[in-house]
Amino acid sequence: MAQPMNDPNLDLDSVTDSVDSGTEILNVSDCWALIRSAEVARLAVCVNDQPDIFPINYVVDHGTVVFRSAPGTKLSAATGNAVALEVDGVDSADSATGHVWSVVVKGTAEVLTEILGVFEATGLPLFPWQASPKPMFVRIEPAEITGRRFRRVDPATASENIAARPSGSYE
Amino acid sequence: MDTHTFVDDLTDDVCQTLLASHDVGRLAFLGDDGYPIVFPVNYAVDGDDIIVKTDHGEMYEHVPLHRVAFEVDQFDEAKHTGWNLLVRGEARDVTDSHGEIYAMGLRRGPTVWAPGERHHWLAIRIERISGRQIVRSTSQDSNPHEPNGATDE
Repeated sequence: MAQPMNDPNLDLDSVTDSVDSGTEILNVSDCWALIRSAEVARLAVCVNDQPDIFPINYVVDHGTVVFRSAPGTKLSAATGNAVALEVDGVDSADSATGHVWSVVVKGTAEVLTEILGVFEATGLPLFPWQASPKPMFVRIEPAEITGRRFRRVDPATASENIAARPSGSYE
Repeated sequence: MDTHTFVDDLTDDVCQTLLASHDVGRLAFLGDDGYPIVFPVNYAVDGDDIIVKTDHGEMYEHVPLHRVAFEVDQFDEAKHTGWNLLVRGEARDVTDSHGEIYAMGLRRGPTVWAPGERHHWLAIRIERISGRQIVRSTSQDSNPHEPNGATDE
């Protein structure tokens, strides 16, 4: 069952109280703006009852997400099934001080088979980074989109983190 | 200039080095509603385990004692190059009654970027690790077996 939009079911790994904790829940249009601003997402799929996850490059097209794939891959095996697409980033050149955001789209992935749909998709600015042939177009129809954004916790004030901080872990 | 890209498998050693030298990954697991769930998380490596801290209900209900997929990557959107790792393994809750990590001596905990407290420690056993990189062959790029991300920025 789909969760309500105000339920922060995506998370940079915890937090239930979004406002007090400093985490901002993004509205749907902000989520789309962030998805359009990036090129690489991670697609989580379920193959043989096991979770799997792949980076893909994608474009947004009429409220859907389109990517290319090749027959016989695990990615193509996931089509027709429920998938979750995750995109994240830092909205500043300085990743130590910027806002970190993450958006998740849950939906169903379908291979485009109708010739008209394939023609339309062929015109999308979608250029896989790898040279290997990817003749299939896969479209994710969103069922739910959620996103959140927060300012990265300052390690100088996070005493809990200082004690456990592995050296050199900050990028 | 003539360029082409190709995909290269990373050796086990390179995969382990990349995993240990980064601290953000994406954890994928299966939820109740039939959808896979994916979260970006901060992590640390402890021996054969990836350690994650959480207070998120979905994560600590669905991850322990289940098989999960964990992905780490770094991409250059301008050059269209990058690498990614995929780890598969079973996860378990390693929190003890004091809220400290169980039997690990807290050598390394993940540095968490997100605000909020976290009381649950999860360990993902690194049962299988694989990695690939996308290489452009034109420029005077360094040895493709040493992806840029292998050294911390």
